[in-house]
Amino acid sequence: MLGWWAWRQGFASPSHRQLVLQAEQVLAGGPDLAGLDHAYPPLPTLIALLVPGGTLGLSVAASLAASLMLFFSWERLYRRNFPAWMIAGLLPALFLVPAIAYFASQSLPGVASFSLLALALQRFMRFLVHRDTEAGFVTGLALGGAFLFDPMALFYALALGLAAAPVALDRFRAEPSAAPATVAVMVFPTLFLVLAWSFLEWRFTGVAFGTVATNPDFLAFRGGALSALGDAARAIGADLLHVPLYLCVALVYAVRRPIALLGLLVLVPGSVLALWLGLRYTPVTAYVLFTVVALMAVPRNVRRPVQVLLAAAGLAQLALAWVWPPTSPGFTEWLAAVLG
Amino acid sequence: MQVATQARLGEVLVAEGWISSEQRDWAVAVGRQSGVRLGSVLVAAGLVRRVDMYRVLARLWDCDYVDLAETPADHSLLDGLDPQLLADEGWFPVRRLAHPNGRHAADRASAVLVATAERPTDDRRRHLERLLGAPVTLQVTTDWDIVQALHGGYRQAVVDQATLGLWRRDHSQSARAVLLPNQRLVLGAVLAAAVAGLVLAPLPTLTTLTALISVAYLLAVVFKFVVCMVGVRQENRVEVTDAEVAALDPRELPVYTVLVPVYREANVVADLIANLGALDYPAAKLEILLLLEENDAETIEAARAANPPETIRFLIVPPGHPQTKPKACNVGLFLARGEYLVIYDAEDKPDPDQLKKAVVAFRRGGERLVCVQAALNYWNAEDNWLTRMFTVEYSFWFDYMLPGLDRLRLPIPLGGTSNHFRTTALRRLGGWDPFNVTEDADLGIRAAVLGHTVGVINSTTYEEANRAPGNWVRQRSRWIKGYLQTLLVHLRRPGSLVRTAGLRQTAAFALLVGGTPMTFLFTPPLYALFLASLLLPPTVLSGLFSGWVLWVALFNLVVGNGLMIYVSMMGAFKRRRYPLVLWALLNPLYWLLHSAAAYKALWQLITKPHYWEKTLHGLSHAAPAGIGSDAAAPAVAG
Repeated sequence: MLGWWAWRQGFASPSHRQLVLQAEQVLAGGPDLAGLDHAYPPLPTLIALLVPGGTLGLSVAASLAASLMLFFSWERLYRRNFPAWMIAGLLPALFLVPAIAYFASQSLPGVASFSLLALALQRFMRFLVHRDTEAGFVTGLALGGAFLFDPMALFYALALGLAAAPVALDRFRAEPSAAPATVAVMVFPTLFLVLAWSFLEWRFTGVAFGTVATNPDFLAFRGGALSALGDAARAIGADLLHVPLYLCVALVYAVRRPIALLGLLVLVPGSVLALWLGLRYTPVTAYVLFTVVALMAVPRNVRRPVQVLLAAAGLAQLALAWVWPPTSPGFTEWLAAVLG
Repeated sequence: MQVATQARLGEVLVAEGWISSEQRDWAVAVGRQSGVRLGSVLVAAGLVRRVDMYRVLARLWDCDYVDLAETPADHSLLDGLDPQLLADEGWFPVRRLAHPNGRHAADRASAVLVATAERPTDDRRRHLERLLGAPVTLQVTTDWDIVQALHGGYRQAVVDQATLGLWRRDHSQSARAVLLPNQRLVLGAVLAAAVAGLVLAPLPTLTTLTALISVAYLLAVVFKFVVCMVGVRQENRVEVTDAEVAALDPRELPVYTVLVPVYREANVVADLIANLGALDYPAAKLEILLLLEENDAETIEAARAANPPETIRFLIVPPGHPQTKPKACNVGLFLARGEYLVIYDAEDKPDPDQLKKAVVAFRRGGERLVCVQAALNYWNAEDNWLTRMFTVEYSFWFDYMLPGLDRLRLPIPLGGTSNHFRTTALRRLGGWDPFNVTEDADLGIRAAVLGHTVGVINSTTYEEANRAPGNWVRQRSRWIKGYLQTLLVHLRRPGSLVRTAGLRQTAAFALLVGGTPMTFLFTPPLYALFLASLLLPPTVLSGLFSGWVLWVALFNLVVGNGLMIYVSMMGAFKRRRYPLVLWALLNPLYWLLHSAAAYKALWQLITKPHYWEKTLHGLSHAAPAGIGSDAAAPAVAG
């Protein structure tokens, strides 16, 4: 509804405008796929090609994806038999925040990739804690799928692979080959897709990753590489202040299952890296990513005091999101369009 | 055998010095525990030879002993008699005793000498006289001599049943004919259309063929991946627990037949006997039959020289066409006594508790469950690159694909070994098709088509992976040829197949059994096309192939290869074979070897469809690791 209303008011997010343009450029490239350098990220571009209605169609698609994400978040909490009041304290941080409403209806690549990233991280933690092979492979596949929506997934994949290596070395001391095998499981799908896409773009257009390469912020390192890194770290640090729920969940893991903390914390360097390299990363995207991951990662079988703490953190985050909302290019314009 | 007789038997054996009193007490305890007769326990434990046991029994029963191996038999006495009845009741008519040309009617109604392995009571005698219509003189022989005599007496019937039983039952279920007339017609029409198209409109025809192949490829890959992901979710579901195995009452365990077809395996037969000896199952309830080909003197000699225990017996398979493993298995099936039956290959090392797990699975699975398949894997994975790739492949197949198929209730093409059957159900299915060189895959599909279910159990049999490329290609070409045979057999009446098995099962069968050889046959042309595309400018490519064809081909190249490499990694990882995970990256090259085997298979399907490419074993330099515990040895050795 909000997506349609905003569209009716003449608003279209930069992200969706870009996708529609890319789709047109791909088509203009002709049957010899000369437009392939405009096709990354491939899945949202494909959706832009197939779904009628331009930016409105993409908003509908994004909203549907967001609905699924929200549903799975709720279902996860429900199936863990958390009390209703706890769920009521946690979910509004995702349901009732204007910035989320903007993100959910105006950023198809973000919604899809973050859902997959959240799935990857949740499974990664299960892989670490319970040595569940299935979880390890779902992690790898989810990261690969996320890459098809957003290049940031590559950095999260690398970060998870790096995080998995010491755990594997420690856990399988008698089998030194377990560490590279574990890393391979985590990163292979993403790396394979990176290489495959690079090859295809280069083969048909002569340029690999044209869409990313033409992004003016990519590898810009304004003020110098080190300075830009510091700026990125500070920015992510500030973003973390918007998500007390994530910090609270991390604290619970630090006390109960320190090893699982690796999965949660890997988001931070991954995000710093993405921002430092100039990929599209805003405080709103940070808010959504950290919140979704926190909801997916809420540990089961926590005692009542911890339940109260988590619910309180969720409500505090909700309040903070209204009083001190995360920002994003286009959010202010969207809000103005929605409010008329 | 009555308790009193058992007690007397024990006393006599001790008194005559065959066993000690401690051994007798041990055997009595084991017999009570497992519900097996004293004599059987002693023979199975190797404390008394079978022939000596029955000679003692003969004296106890106040009866003469007859050595059937040395006594010529009159096989005309078998006319009209059911061999299964004779095997179940344990007797064999040897010859007539009185003069057939006697003056008096009483003389002419000549008595029949009957050898029996059971106590010769009056009731038994009267029963046999009714069946034979003549007076009967009973003499004692061993139970195994009865079986051997039956195989000899019904030799022709055995060979006939083993070779042509399925064909006679239903032509359409046998691979004896590669193509039925209607199949020849359809195939001819398709080939003619393709050739005509290539001549009259080469480019559109080529594009169409490429499109069809690409789509079929895509469907096959996606299907395998989806099944695999379902199989991954079963990883944490333990089918049979150790507690369930431990809870089995040995007295209630049935007789289990183990068939081991052995041909030109003189170099591994000693290891085989040791591996089978490790099976954790009451020895007296095991019927282990080594199926030896009559013309394989070397292996027969090696088997004899290995001095196998009494639980392992030789069954000589009469020669005849086709000379295949399934034919030998059908011979073994003919008079198998076991309620359940399993096939092992000569080089197999099954988990010791595999039979017990199968028993639990069958009891739990209901009557529709006719077969359970154990996982196969290799003990010599690290021999060389080929054994590594083979292990990666098998790990994926047996640890993810089969559990996925099982979970989705789709047809399971059985592996060539460690298939456990309900014996009566196997007979109802018609046994193995001796003309199909992957008789196991065929049987799994036939069972599914006829409404039965095939399951998997969480137990592993370790085999020797092929380390020599030539040997590997021979083995793989046989498997692929067998898949093609199975596909052609079961698609003979596609409408009937869909009606009986259902559309879902039919589609799965086509994708799996048909898709596998198809992907290997088309891999080289697709690779060639890819290489050519590297040399051609994109504008030329788009001129040759319409947009969507190109996209599908690219998708196959990228996603298809990536998925198959990843699922191979999964299999190796799950087995904790960490050094093998990265070897999965070489799968695209490994598939070229499959392609070589596939073309050989296709050629043989046309030129010699029933030829069995023999795989050489015993080539590995690695010593098999100790897998599983030793079987329980007699408490007191003889």
